[in-house]
Amino acid sequence: MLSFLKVFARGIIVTLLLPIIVLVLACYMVYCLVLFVVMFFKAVIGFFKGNNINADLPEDLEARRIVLEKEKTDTQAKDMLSMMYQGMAQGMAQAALNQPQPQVRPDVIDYLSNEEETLTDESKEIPYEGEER
Amino acid sequence: MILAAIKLSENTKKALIIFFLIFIIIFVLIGYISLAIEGAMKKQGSKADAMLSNVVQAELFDNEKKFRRFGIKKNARVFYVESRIPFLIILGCGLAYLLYCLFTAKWGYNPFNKTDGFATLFYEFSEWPKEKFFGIKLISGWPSVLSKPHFEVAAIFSYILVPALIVGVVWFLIYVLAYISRSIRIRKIARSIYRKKLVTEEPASPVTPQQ
Repeated sequence: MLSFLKVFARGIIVTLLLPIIVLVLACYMVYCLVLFVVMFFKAVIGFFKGNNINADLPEDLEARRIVLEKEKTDTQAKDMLSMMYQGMAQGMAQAALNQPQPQVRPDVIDYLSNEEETLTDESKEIPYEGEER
Repeated sequence: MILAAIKLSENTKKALIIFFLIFIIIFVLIGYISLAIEGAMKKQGSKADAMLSNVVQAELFDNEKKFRRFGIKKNARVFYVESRIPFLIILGCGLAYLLYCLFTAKWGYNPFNKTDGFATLFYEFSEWPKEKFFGIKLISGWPSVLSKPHFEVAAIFSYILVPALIVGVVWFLIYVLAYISRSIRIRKIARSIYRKKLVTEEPASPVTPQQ
């Protein structure tokens, strides 16, 4: 309901302002007609000079060149970063491979397979190699 | 008191209700039409974004004035390229009118006239009949039909010229609106890029005094 009333109010305002809107539009139309004629003569002169009215302006070309350069540097930076990350990942993997693997003592395995008793008592702790019980 | 004293018949009440409904519908329609035009203008204005995106990305201009000048230049070029066909139609209509006047030697020919012009395709009514009631002139009846729509051989030229002219002018007007909306958009972009605001956020809520 509120939106309907808003549209209604807008309709009244537009109707009241219509003479001004039409006047502004008429002025712009005359201005655009003059602009068109001016642009037509510019286009004709440009045609004989070898310039095309549809072609880009020098500022456009310059801007495009800068944007392309920026994109190029961005992609280069991205490539470098990805290479760096790749190298880092490889190095980390290699380091992980080179690390000494934890080994299980063979006497512990023997002890566990022979003894069936639980290792709760301190006296039954597994002695280290060369250590006396 | 006065309103209570006025007694309206059922027919008058119905007529008043219909009158108010028509009144509301007309203004709502105008409101919706204005909304549609605004939407179309916004859409046309967004072309300016595409037109200037490279320049903004490259940060080519260091001030608003240069940017706006470039925008106006570019906008004029786009307008010229777009509005060539409607302008040619209008120009063709003008030339055709001049040639018609030259060959028929009717230099004051009005293509919209009621005898051998475009208006022969429409109804023509007389003025509203009026009568004096207590010194005030009031409408007292319906106007009579003076002429019905009919085909006139002498008006063939105007049947072609007037629709072509209307198409050309309306088409040109659409491009003028597009030009205006692009100009507005360029101004907005320039302001948003180059005019730095000191306050960008809402001011913080006032601190409540501690007891």
